This record gives sequence, structure tokens and C-alpha cells, in this order.
Amino acid sequence: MKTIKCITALLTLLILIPANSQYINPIVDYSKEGVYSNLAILTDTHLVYQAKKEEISSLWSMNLNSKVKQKLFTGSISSLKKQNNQVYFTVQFESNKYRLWSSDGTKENTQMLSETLIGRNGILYSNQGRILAQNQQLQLLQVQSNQIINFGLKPLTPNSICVFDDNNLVILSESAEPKSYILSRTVGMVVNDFYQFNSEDDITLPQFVHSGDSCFLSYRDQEELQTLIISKDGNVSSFVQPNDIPKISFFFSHLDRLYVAAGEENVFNSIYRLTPDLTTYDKSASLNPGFIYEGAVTRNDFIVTRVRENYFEGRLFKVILNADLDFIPTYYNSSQVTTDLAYELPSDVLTGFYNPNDGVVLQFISSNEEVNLMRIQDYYYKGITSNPNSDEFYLILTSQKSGRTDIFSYSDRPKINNSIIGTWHEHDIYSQGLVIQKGQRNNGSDYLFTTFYTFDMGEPLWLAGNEELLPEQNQIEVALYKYDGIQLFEYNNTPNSELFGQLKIQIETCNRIKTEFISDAYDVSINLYRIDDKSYDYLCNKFTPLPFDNMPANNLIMEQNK
Amino acid sequence: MIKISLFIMLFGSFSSFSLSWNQAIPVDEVRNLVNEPYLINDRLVLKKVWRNMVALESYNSLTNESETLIEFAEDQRIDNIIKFNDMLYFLLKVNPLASEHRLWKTDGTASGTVQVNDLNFYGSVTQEALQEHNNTLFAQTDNGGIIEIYDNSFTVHEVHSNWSDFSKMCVFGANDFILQDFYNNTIFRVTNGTKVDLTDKFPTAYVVLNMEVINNQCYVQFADGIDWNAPTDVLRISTDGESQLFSESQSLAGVYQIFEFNNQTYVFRKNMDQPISSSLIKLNSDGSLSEEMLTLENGTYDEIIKTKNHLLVSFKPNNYFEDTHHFLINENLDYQLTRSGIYLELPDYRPTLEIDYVIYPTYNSSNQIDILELSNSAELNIFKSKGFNYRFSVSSEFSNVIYFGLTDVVTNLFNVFILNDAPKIGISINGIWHDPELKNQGLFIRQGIRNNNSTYIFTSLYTFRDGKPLWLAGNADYNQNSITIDLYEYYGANFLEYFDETQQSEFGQITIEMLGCDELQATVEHNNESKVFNLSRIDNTTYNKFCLEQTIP
Repeated sequence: MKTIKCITALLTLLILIPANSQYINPIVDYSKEGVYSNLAILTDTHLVYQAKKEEISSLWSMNLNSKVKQKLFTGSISSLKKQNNQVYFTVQFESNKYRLWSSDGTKENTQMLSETLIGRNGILYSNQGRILAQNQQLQLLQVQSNQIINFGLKPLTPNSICVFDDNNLVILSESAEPKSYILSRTVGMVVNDFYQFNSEDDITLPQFVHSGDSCFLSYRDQEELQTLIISKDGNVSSFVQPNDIPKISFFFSHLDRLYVAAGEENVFNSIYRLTPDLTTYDKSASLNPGFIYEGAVTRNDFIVTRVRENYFEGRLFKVILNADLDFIPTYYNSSQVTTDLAYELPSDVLTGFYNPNDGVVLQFISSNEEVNLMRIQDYYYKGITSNPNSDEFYLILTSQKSGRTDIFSYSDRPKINNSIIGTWHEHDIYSQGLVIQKGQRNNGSDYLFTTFYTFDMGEPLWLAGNEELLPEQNQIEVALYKYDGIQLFEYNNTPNSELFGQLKIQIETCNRIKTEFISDAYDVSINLYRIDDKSYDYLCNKFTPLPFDNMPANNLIMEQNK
Repeated sequence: MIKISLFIMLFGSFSSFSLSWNQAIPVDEVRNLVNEPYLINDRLVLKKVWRNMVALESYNSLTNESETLIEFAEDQRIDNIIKFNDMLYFLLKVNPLASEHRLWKTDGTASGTVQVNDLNFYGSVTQEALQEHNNTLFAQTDNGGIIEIYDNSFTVHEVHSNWSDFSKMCVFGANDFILQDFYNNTIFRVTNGTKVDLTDKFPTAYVVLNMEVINNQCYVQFADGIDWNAPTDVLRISTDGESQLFSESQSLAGVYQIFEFNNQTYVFRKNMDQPISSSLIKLNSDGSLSEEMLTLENGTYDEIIKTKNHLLVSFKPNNYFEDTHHFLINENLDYQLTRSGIYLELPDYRPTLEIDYVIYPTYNSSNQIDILELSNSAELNIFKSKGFNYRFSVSSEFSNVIYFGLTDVVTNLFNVFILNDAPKIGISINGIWHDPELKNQGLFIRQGIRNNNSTYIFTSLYTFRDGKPLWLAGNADYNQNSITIDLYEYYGANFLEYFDETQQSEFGQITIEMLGCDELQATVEHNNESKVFNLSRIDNTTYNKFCLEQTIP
């Protein structure tokens, strides 16, 4: 009878990769799904994305728990939006004919909401539990409990919508001749115009900001900045700005407070937090001369602003502040186009950058304002899909080596992909090792075939096992069998087989796996290393910490707070 | 948990593939490659760009050796590369501030890369600055002179043309050519340095479309007017200066394209009868009509490709939305349809020493490449590849090798491949191989690339001896079609015991050769006996893309 042996793994000679390195793994499987095609959304339960293979687009989902993928829909979709943990998308089913669909991420709950033809702009608005769209007559539709409600009669081309409640919306739409803007309001199921103003600014479209019981609007007329306040009952008046702040450029709302960007002579280099009665301000933050605030979004506790150098086609920067308008240290990076500002994680705010020297840089800001930077080379940054309720987020990156854009998971260990193929051993366990082959069967399923060449009491022993492989696994358990009873290269004789034990394989780094072998006779935990092979290095990519030291940064842009 | 019987997962059936993609160049060698390479004397010449620097390198796939021909240098330019007499000519600009272009040539080796002469050449990024016509290479000096270039000499014709369209020339022989001065819209003939203006032979408003010498006759095809739909005409100019306007001949009116095939002169003629048809016509050596060969209705012949034994002709429909057809016409003027489709474009034509290749890539995500093989015996074979996107192909009439630049659609990584009858030892050998009748025994093969870029094959063989399990292992470097690896058996240690010394004894040798995508022959030498095993791959589609499937023409 064999005795149970516990073998302790020896210290490895390799330098351990810092624990906070993070690996990326492509999500879209080309052979089954094709290439990632521009749309991705993360709900609480699923990652939903569009892929394209052989000119055919499909909508796929991956269950965040089981990592099981499903094809939700085959066909051309657009306007993928999320609301109340559902995704909504428009489907073009004939030339210039669109319908609204929804899905909870499962195939069985992916359905067309209505036969109603919707406009080509698809979904106009998703916020505060509401999805608004247009029908082909450009009338406004609202989705409630997966039912479509038609606001009826008046065709609109909304630029911005302010939602007071289900039946009280204020809509800003553009009128072509003469060029002006119209404010309309839904009362019951009817849309009525109630205010009109001129704006000759073709570049910046006015956008509502909802704060308290009012909506605020800024626009430019005859080079003059104008501001409006619209009350819930439809009253419109010029916003009377506090005397102690200069001309307001734009509004935004954060944690139930109204903020404005303002400045003298079109240099809007200050942000002010207005007091609740809107008569003065209690906090402000100014940029150094030469920089102006151009826009702002709010993410968790933070305000992420887009700042531009104040000259023609000046560079753009992201500048992040807290609710009290203290500047948060931000990776210093400029670009000509910044449309992507920041994303919400359950506790952190995440934003991405690209810089030729550092590559893709991710900045994490925790709720206690701790800032961390991570970077990866050989990729371009495209965006992030995240969800305030999910610890997982997915990166959209373009490989500089292959030119392909893909969605990547972000995790502290590599996932099992083709890079696990190969031969693995421990230097100090002589002439023994593990051979792993990943394959894809003709039916499209993936498997991991493992053979273990070793010894038993001085005699050669080999074990083999096979296991199904699912997406996004970073560990797998394989039952290993021992075979005996036949002669060398003996044809047509089946050997005896006997379960020898269970082998757990977990990927630790690109070139190191942790194995645990458990049987009646053995309980062995051991690290194995890849025998020198760089064939799959291109599949193993990781973010590493980037020190914040020596960032020239923020001093160039930010002045001290008031 | 589902238990799967090991080594009995059969691949459905053996497929017989005739051609395989095999990687020709290590990935590092094609890094920074911007355009398609050139094939000179079995060497691929690669123009590489890195940041603002450009270089010329060559790679010999027979010896796996690379050489730097022109080193990377800032602001250097290498333009107007043209292949001529199995040499590569190009203009090198080394001083970014001066417009000095020097003519260089290379045979693909560093020692054979030299400056041709000290002249300063007109240079541009287009190909027009260097052109080959009738086996003569022409260039232009920066003051309007025309240069005929020979191996070790050159002739400068001081004709002071302001800007000549070198792509359109008639070259009768040394020091005797007809050229268009594009800037002044004149056509002139230069004979031994004497310039004679031929412009008065053309209508007042004309646009030269093409010029070609066939059987000592210069055919100038032109549009009679500057409108896009102006009628086309042809002026024939013989070496003795006699000329003929085709529109003045009833049988030749409507001719819009002239070409040589099998030493005969052919033309396409648009017949203005209804429905509009187009005829392939053979001309006599003096330019008169010999016979009408082939007339097709409802469209016009368009572009052609001339292979060694065939014409590939595009026939465009009168109706824009109908299919274009490609016909393959042999020297007896028998023809067969090769392909039809809306907006069908001409394929790439790549001649080699023995076989001509015609390549139809599909530029959509179906990732299909169709390769037509036209052998000297005029036999047509068609192969279909799926799994790669086509970037380029390059061949030479002095070599049988054709190189393809392909991007793997799964990994999206680019590489250069050659076509062989069977897979070579390479990435597609990776996997598990077995004979279904050798129960629970098999061979694992792994191609690896070390960090020092050397490649190796590691193999482990799982079998039995005297009823007990036996495994054998070995590895070897490789760069050939088959590989022989010494196999060793090991014993004397315990299950995963650290520092447990093992004994090793030589079991024998295994020779591995790939016969097809999923077929492999392993020959094991042991105890002076040799056993041959025909193994098949355990179900795995990963490497199918390396095999081309033959289709029926």
C-alpha cells in the first residue's frame, strides 16, 4: 500500500511578478464568433457584445458567473443601450426599417418589443430607468416594462431630454428654418411646444442639466452666452447667475448640487459649486491661464472634466476633481480628440489614456482618492465597458502587432487560452513533466488534453486525461488515468485503464502554472514552468504598475483652489 | 463529469489536400515591412520603415540568411523600385534638403547593391520615374533628359521634355523610341538623339491611353477628345515612319485595345451593332485585319492578363449591374469561364519558372483565397484557402517559389508563406497524433521557438512494454521537411520527487514526416527493427487553415 506523500514546492529561481500585475485575455473567439464589432455593454449579469464573422453580425452574451456564451441575435444591430439591467438595441430588418429589441443577456429573453417601426436614430435616451426612442414618424416613444408608449402626434428630432417623471419630459429639438431651438413638453400623452430660442453655435449643441426640480440649459446666441432655467411645471426664464461668478459657459450636476464652468472673455477656466439656493458659490477650482473647461461628466464621487488648451485646435486633457473641487492627481496626457472621459466601478472611477511612451494607461481612483496607474505596451486604448454594480470591467484595445480591436477581460491571473499549449516542468524534478494541448473539435467545442510523464517506484509511468474548456477559465481540473496491460506498439488490444487521480491546473503567470495532484496515494502541490518557448508570447499581455512619480502633469494645468 | 475515452477521438475522415501553406520567413524578419517585397535571385528584398527611417533588407529563404542592403537612416527615401533583368533598380534620396536622387541597383546581396551612376534623377514616389519597355530601362534626369540604362552604361538623350509619362512609350530598339511629353501634350520620336515631333498625326484634342510596340509597329491608343466618354482611336506608326489611323479603316473602327499574344497582334473592337458586342480580332503584321476570332454580345472585352499559355480576359456587361465574366483563352482560342461576379476585379497574376499562378483574394470576412495553377502543359488546377487574409504575393520567372503575405484571421498576425505539396515540419505539426488501432497509445509533438529564436521539436511517445506503461521523449532542432529525433526512456525516479536522479537509456530513433494536414508518418527504429506508423491527428480544427483544398475547375 502506498503512503500519502506531501511534497512542498521549492522556492523558484524566477523573479516573481508583482502581485498587482493584471493580465488581459481576449473575449471574442474568432473561430466561433468572428471579430469584435464595436458595441459592448456590461450588465450586472452579462457582457453583451457584437461580433462579425463572414460579413454577418451577431449579438453575443457571456454570463459573468459561468462564463458561458450565447448567441442572442443574428443580424445587423445598432444603438446598444442598457437600462435596468436589460440591454436595448435596434434591429434593421429591411432596408431603412428598424425595430426595437431587448434582452436580459439570455437567448430565451431576447425579444422584439413591438412591431412598431422606429426611426433610424434608434434609441435616443437611456437614463433614470427610461428608454426613449422615436418611431418612423419621428414621434417620441417611451419603453416601460418592455411596453412601448407613444407620446404621439408631434414629430421631433430631440437634441436633449430632461425627464421630470414618466409623463413630464422637456425636449429640446432643433428647427431648421429659421435655425432655432424649440422646447417641448409632454403633458399626458401629448407633446406641446412652449418656448423657442435662437442659437447660431453649430459646434456645441445645448444639453439639459437636471438638478433639483429644475433643468438648466446654456447656449450661445450672437456670440453671447445665454442660460435658461426650466421648472417642472414648464416655466422658462433666464437663469440669474450669482453676482460673484463670471459668465457661465455650461452647467453640470453632481451629488445634488449644481456646478457651473465660467470665465471672463470666453476663457472659462473656473468651475464653481453653487450653494443650494443658487445665489452664490462655496467651492471653486481654476485652471492656469491658457486652459479652459470644455465639458464635464460625473462618475461616482468625482467630476471628470475635459480641458482644452485655449488656442485653435489646442490639445485636450482630462482633469479630475472631487465634489469639493479639489484636484485629483491625473495621468498627464494630451490628445486631439477625447470623447471618452471615465467609467464607474463599484468603488473606483476608472479612466484610460494612450501615450506612445507608456502605451495604454489606466487610472484608478478609489473612493478615498487613492490613485493607481497601470500600463500595458503594444496596444492602443479604445474604451472600457463597466458597470457600477460589477467588480468586473472589460477593456477595448487595439493590438499594435495585429491591428485587431478586441474586448479583453482584466484579471490578476492569465486565462486559459492557446498559450497553455506546451510542455511544463520543474527544474529540480528531473525528467518529469506535463504536456498540455488545447484543441478545438470540428463541432466547435474546446478541450484540454493533458499527458503527464513521470515515474512510479523507479518505473516509467504516464498518465493522460481530457477535459472540456470553457471561456475565461483560469483553472481546470482534469481526471488523469493510468493505462497498462499491453505490449509495445501492440495493435488492436485495449489496455486496462484506472483512474489515477485529479490534476488541478491554475495559471499563475504566462510561464508558470500551479498544479495540484490529488489521489489516494498523493497530495502534491507544485509549480511548473514552461520549457523555453515564445510561440504564444503574443497571447500573454499584462498591465504593470506605473509609478506616479515624475508625472509632469497637473501643475501645468491646475491652479490652487480658492 | 463526462469521461472521454482517450486516444479514440477519431478525426472524421482523412481529407486529401494537395497544397499546404508553410511559413517561409521568421516573424522577426518581416517586422516593419510596409509594402510587398520583391523576389530577386531567390532573395526576398524587403523595404522596411521604422519611425522616420527606411531601409532595404533581403532574406534568402533557401539559406535562411538575411542581409542589410541599405541601412536604416533618418529622412532617407527609397522610391521608384522596379524589377528589371532580375535586378532591382531604385532611386535613393539621402539628403532630405536637396532633391538629389541617385539610381541604385541590387541583386539581393549586400555586395551586389551599388549606385549605378552619378547622374541626378528626377524622382517621385510614383513608379513613372523608372520604367521598363521592350527590355530597356528608362529614367529621366531632373532637367528633362531621357536616359536609357544598360548593365554597365547609359545613354542620355537631351530632349528637354518637361515631363514625360514613362508608362506610355514605344521602344523600337536602342536609341529609338516614341514618347509623350505630358506637359506640352506633344508626342515625339527620338532616333539616335534626333527628336521628331509626331503630334500632327493626331487630332487636335487627344489623350493618350496606351502605347505598345508589337512586331515593330507602335500602336498609340488614344481618346479623341478630353471627355470621359470620348471615342477612342488607334494610330499605328511603323519603324519607317508610315502611319495609319484605325478610324479611317471600316474594319478597324471601334478598336480600343491592342496586345500581343503568342507573337501575334490582337485587338478588341467594340461593334456598334445592337446589342452592343465586342470582338477579339487578329491583325496581320502590317496592322491590317486578319480574322475575327471571338465575338461576345451584351458587353465589351476589358482588361487582360497574359500568362505564358493563356489570356485571361475580363468581359464587362453593358448593364453596370450585371455580372462581369472572366474567360481563360488558350493559344487555340478555346475559352472557358473561370469566374463571374458583379464588380469582379482582375486577379493577381504571378508567373514562376514552370507554373503561372492567378490569385483571387476575397476582401471580405469570408477570408477565402482562390489560387489557379496554370502549368506549362496548360493544365488548370484550382485551390481554395480559408483562414488567411491575402496581403500580397510575389514571384519570379527565374524561380519556382511563390511567396504569399498572409494575415492569420484567428491571431491577426502577419507572416510570409510558401506553397508546398505537403506541410513541412512547422506549427501545424503541433498536437496529439495516434493510430486508432493502437489503443491508448499516441505521440505528442510540439514545435517551440526558444527565446533565442531557434526552433525545436519536442516529442513524447506514450506506449507500453510488457504490460507496463512506458513513455519516451526526445527533442531536436529542425529546419527541414522531416525530422529524426533520438528517443530516450527514463527510469529510476519516483512520482514528482525532487532531486531524484533518473537513469536514461537510448530507446531508438523516431523520424517524423507530415504527409498531409492531419496525416503524419512516424518511423520508430528500436532494437534494429523499424516500425512505420501512419498517424492521424486527434480531432482538432486549429491547423486546418494551413491546408488548401483542391476544387473542380
